[in-house]
Amino acid sequence: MGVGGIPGPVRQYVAGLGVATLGLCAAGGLALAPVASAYRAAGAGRPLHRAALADWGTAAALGAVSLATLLAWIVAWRRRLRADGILTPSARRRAWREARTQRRRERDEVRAAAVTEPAAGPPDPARVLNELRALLVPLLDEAEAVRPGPDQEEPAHDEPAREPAAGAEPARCEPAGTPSVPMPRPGGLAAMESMLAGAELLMVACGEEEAW
Amino acid sequence: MVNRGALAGMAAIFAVGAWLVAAPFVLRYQPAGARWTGASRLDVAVGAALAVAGAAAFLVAVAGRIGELYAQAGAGAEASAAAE
Repeated sequence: MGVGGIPGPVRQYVAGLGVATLGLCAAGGLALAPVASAYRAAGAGRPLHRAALADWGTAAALGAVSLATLLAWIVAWRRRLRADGILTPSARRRAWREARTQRRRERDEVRAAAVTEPAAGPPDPARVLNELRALLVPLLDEAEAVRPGPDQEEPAHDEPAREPAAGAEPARCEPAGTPSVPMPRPGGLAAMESMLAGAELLMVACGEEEAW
Repeated sequence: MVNRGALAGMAAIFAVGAWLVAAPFVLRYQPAGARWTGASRLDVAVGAALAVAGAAAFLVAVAGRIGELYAQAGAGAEASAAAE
């Protein structure tokens, strides 16, 4: 227990609030003193006494300073009480804080989504197919370039895979006896077009399903 | 927890009190050597009270703030010792 029955941690706040209140009272007293003590003017029709001017000016400044100090001490004490768990926020204030946190979270998510995917909404099937075509066309051109000439004998795709040389690491990890999957023939333009048509059909079907 | 505004307010109240004590002589509405007027007595008394109260509250607030810092430092040292 501190001095005068005031606990030690609270003493500074009590002192601050008390002095700020004293300042407010002193400001009021100073504002009234020239009138109450009749030294406002030296005589009728004469200018104000310098003491009255000083008191009124000082009273105005002291009132403003004391009010600001009082508010500052109130805020400081409330913060301390909240930190100590003595003063709990009201349900309304808690709800307001939660709503604010939720709004911030949603805004951050929207911003993050906008950064990762600039075009919002479902992808346009036509645009996706065009991009797919743009990706595949260079591959088709390369395949056309490496296609063997008509005089060259094409390798037979039906023949079994060659056994790797002794001591050489196998190219693919496949169990022994597994039939090798034939690689697609270079220049399979028809196959690519077929794939594209299939993808287009699939996307159109998905769009219709979404429309349903 | 005590913010700077609160401490500055205490210092400002002390300054206003000191100004009130000095005002009769600075503004010359208390002639030197003459008997003190009512305005001078009032200003000096109110100013002295404000200056003393403001200074005392400022010192109490600073002492409390230092005490809080010591308590935080002690709590931090105990926590680090417990972690080790």
